[in-house]
Amino acid sequence: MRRSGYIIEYALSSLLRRWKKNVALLIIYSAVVAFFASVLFFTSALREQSRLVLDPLPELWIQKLSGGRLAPVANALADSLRHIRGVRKVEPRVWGYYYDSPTGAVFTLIGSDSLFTDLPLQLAEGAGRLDNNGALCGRGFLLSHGLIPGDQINLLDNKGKMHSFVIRGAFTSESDLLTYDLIILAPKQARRILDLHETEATDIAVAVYNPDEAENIATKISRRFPGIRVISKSQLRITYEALFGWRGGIFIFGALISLLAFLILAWDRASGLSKQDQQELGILKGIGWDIGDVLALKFWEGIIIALTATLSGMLLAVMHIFLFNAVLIKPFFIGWSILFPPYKIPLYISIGDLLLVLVISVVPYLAATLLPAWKGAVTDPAEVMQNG
Amino acid sequence: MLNDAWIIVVLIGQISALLLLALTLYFATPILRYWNPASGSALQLELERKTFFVSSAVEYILAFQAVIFVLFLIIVNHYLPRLINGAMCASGILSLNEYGYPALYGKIAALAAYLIFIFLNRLDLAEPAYPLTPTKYFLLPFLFWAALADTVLTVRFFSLINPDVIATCCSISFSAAKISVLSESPVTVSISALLIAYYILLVIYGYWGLKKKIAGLLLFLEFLLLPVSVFILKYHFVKYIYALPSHNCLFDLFFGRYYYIGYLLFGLLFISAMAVIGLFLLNRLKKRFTKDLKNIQQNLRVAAMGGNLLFAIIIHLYWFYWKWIIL
Repeated sequence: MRRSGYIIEYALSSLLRRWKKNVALLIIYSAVVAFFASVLFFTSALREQSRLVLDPLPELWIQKLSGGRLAPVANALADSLRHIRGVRKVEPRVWGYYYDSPTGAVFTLIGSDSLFTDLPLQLAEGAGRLDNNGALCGRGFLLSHGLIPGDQINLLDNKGKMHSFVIRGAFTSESDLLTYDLIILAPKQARRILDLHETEATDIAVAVYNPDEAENIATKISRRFPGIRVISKSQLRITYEALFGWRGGIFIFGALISLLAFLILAWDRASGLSKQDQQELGILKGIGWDIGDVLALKFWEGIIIALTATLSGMLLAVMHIFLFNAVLIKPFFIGWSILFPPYKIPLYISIGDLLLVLVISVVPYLAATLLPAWKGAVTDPAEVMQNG
Repeated sequence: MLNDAWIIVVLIGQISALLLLALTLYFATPILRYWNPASGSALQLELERKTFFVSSAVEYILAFQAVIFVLFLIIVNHYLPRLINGAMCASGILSLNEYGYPALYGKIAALAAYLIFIFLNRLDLAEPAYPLTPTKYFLLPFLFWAALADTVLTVRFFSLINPDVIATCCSISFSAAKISVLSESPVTVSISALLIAYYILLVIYGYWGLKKKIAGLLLFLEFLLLPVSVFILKYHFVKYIYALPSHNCLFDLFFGRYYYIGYLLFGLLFISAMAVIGLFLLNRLKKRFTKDLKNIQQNLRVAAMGGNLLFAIIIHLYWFYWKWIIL
């Protein structure tokens, strides 16, 4: 124990003595680790985010297909669904997209008469049910039009007729991922803008008592009613999780060459001992260090470098992802829509992530530098001293 | 699923370890062939230098594999169940294809093999005459092939996982728990018989352990005790840990909601088994050493008996808690 203590101390002092030689390696090493850690942290954070976002969704929703394309679904279907055992709540939903020609952006329009009290909402005046002239807006719409709650908005329906609404409230930035591009109108008005008939809805949300039974109920529904498509929350969740894992995987695959290049650099640096290094090893062996001691010294030097680089790389990655919102890799991971919300990524790192970064940074490095370290350790002291 | 970020990282680690092991084998082959301690030739000197590389490399590999093993557990027990429909823990994931369980067991066996090599190596290096060289190097080809098989199994396992397939988790194995208890285990015995066998084995084991004689018998007892310990945990004590009478899937023990107790319990069993194997090897090779090994033997014996005893105490505490305090 005490012996390794001395060796660690010597390794530290010898690294500090030659710090100029190690700085370049450390910088590149940290950059490589930072890249891989960024990808891993970001995929985890996105997964966590999507899990939070998907959590409040209903277990199933049902769309009507005609000719393989989405069509409005009749409200009457909702009544039939209520009688299926295990179904807790059936709710026809009215929603769609609204193309806003002045900004060129596409907003999501939802028809609802309740006030979404579970989302942080900044209300303009006394709240109740959303009346026929009122609207609730996300920040994206307000910012792009330079509006504040209390102002008036104009929306065009399918026949080109204009309808005016008063903004009764706005969602605050905490729910940006959900509400940034949102406009909420009373169902009657939303149907008018979206060109839906009174007896029609966009789709039907189905909540069930036991989430574990959702898949069975979905199968039952799709067998009983022809011409519909049943989508389950778990399918969606798994698709998201797999998607992020897959995108992260592509990134890491693509970057494997850079890892290899770095390892060659590390190998090269470790094998190309300078005259000074050789002399140092020669002296150490001359005063009685054996090969095992020198290998231990090299091991601790490697560990110190690897851990320093790993820690600073992780730190860089955390700053990149959570402080600077993953500026460098975000566009490749998330959607391509025009008005994707500039949301903050919540801080989320698991033990698994940290272990992964450790494996990808320390393991290949130590494996690559062992042979050069051994080669240095077995040099003959007499030979080195004579040549020096 | 080879394109998943987590799986790629694990495979990178695994392949690094495998390459290092290949290099080690390359270094060890001349040692196996030409080692001659009586000679003072340049070749012998060179071989002696090479032994240093081999011992460092295997220690590195053990450390790598240990971390990779933990990651593998996290992946099959925590990460993949969120991606695969229907799987709730590693039981569902590992049975997705026929390579799952072999990959897990392969990793455990590989860890044990590295530990044995390192144990022998440490013993060997403590003696000036290297009494176990080159005998211990005969293990290395086996280590290499085991690691290669482990890597191939892991790659096959992960590459054949298809996220679209709905897994059947332990819901199948525990819904008919009462019936499947006996059909699953190789010997058809009732739980009470199993418990009695466990207690008898534990007593004999303790007796022989304290007698400090015949390490071979202790090894034999350990290999009886180990499966019986796992069985009584699976079919009797685990329900007191979960507080669910019908659930006897062992993988949930590794979850945070049970305070990761599985890592402790299986860690204790693993330590015991490794200590007994070490004790056995030490006894076998005793004559080759000049140094007194009483101290090491004592430590190994304490580890072997302590691990099994602690395991027994912990599971009985759970049982006691439910049986006498709650109910």
